[in-house]
Amino acid sequence: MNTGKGKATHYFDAIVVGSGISGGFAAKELCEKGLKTLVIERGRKVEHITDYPTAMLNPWQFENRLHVTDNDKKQQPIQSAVADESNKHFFVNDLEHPYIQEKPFLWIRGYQTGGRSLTWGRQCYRLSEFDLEANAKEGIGVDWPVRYKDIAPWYDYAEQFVGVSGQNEGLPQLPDGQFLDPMEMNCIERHLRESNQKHFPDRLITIARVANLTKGLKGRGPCQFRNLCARGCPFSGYFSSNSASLPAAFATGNLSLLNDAIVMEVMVDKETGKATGVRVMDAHTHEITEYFASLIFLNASTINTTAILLQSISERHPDGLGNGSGQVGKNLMDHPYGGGAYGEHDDFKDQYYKGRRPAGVYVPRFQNIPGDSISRKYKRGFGYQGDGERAEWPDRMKMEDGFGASFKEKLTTPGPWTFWMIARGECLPYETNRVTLDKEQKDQWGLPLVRVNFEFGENEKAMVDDQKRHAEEMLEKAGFKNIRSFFYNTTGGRAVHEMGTARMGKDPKTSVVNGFNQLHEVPNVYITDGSFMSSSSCINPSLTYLAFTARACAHAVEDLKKGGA
Amino acid sequence: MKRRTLIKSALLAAFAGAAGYGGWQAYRIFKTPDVADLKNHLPLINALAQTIIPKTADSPGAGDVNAAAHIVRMVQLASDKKTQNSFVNGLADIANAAYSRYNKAFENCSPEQQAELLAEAQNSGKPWKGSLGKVQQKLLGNSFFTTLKELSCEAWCTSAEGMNQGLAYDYVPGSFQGCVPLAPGQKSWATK
Repeated sequence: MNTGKGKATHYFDAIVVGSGISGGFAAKELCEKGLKTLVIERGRKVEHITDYPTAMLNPWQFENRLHVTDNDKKQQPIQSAVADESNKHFFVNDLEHPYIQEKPFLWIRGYQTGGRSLTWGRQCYRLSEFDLEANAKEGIGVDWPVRYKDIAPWYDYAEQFVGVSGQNEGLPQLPDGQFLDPMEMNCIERHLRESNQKHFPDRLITIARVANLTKGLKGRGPCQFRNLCARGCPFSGYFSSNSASLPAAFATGNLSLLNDAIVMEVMVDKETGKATGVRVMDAHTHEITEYFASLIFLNASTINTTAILLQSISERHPDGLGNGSGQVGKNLMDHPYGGGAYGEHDDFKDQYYKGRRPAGVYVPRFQNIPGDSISRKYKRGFGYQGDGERAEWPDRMKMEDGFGASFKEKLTTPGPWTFWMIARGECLPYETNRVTLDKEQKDQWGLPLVRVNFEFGENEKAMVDDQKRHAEEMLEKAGFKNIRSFFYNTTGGRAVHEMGTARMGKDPKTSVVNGFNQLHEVPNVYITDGSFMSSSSCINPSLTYLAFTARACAHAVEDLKKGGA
Repeated sequence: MKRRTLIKSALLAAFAGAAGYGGWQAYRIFKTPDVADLKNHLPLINALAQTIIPKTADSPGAGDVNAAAHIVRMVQLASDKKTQNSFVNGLADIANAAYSRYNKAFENCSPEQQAELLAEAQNSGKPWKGSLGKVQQKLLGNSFFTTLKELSCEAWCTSAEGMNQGLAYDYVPGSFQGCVPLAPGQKSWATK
């Protein structure tokens, strides 16, 4: 039972902090299990479809024709790394939401209903047994208390609700899933896949597995192949909290959604040690209200969840909620964009494609797994995301010399086939990569500014040579010309995969949450955004958050029924 | 800048050339550019854009779709100071060249004369090859010709006419086919 004081309308069975990809899914799961659930979102309300103002606009209807201006960069110096004129309203104004970069770190944020699930990359891959056992085998970080067989059914469950298109390939390092029909590969991608099968059988090229619907699912979609996803999709062609999870949660009648409400801290009962609710500030009036529940899910996204834990100081938790291990805020990870290559191909000149596929192709990790014959200078590995296409006007205006009618002819016809691929490597957990709170500086709500101290380590850097070399040699063997390798060397945070600051482990002395995403020290608080990740793998992580969220919700509700929480 | 001042600045350049060409060139690149004045040269800029992408049987040219409005806007709002200066200077240079050679405004020159003048700007604005070119771009910004060409293309390729008539615009494709034979005369897709 709740023990706090307040209005009856402020009592719920469960509170979910954050409405992004994991929070939205937690809300759906808890509501469907019969819990009266309050979702608290710090940003504004964004209704599915009606609040996607740019979704159907043509390029000429944008004032700057989607060209990022100096003023955009001034208002959104961080967010403009990924945002443009068509979707900048789904990213925060950096001037209003400052943080401190001890070293350069891009903290990409979307403060609105649905959070970054509106603008995410939609790539969906599963962690493998290699990923989950690596920490234990190598003595790095802490061992995941979970193995593939524990989480596999929850991946099935999440994929079936999300709607992931993709192709099963039978690879142990990239487990198969419950996929909708894959999108087609184009000529050059098929050619490269076949070339690799001959020359590099360990390097599979498969169509990206993405949360875009290749057929209608639960009244959503199918994808219309406009490739304008980050504006919000009026066809509900991809998975977001707004298009899928929140409507399902609302349909139960159990969901309340509170917008423009910033969670300041989780409140704890002195006697029982359990969380009683959250203290919330209205983003506009700064009025403070307390909401109470038996169960609390923190899904504010990794860095903000960390900040909430560190702000929740009490007698029992002097260093932040559930931080007896001292690990809260440590081990921040993101995926470095590393080396890659680009090439052009002379063949298939009489072939083209139709439609705009909102995804590329993927080369799963092939390093440091059984069958890899090369001795590597680093642990773990990387995968490539790539894309084949014909050169079109944005490319040809730079590739082709001259001007006039002959130039116009080139500008308006398809140029050579090109292929581009970039590696994204696993990032190891380092204690020194850390989120803390500033002791003096505060934001406009009087909450301490977040400090981020992050840099990629030696292991990530040691992969770059291989990333370039392997990309180049795949293109060479497939007959590409004008091959250029490159190294992106992006700033931390650029992959928007920040994770790891409330790591999962067996031992409360060295980890923050247990194998069911429960705070070791406060069992009625669950964390299922990226914070719980004990290692990063090299795959896109969102699907994993969804799988662990569903599993944690099932566990939490079972616990509640037993009277545990 | 009015035409008279353009000519004046060219004369000034000649004098300065005698005094020390390098110093004057550096001044022209690093000074505070008068980008507000660009709005007074829209016909000239449209004529230049039209020379980059002329009207052809199937579609209008870049000047026809008023590429100048976008070009000026992007030079003003989305270019570094050096690129802005190069653009302002290049515009003055080509206007002056038209006057001194043909005694006409650039926009009143014949297409052949315009092409000749623009070819000269292209040659002088060609970036050096390889990594030197990258250093050059960093130090000096984009050349007049590069800015003019890329923004003309951007303006035309994102205009309703350019997308629908010059290119193939598929507003809502509805499906994706990875491999289809290229039809004779098929245009590029207007968006990726």
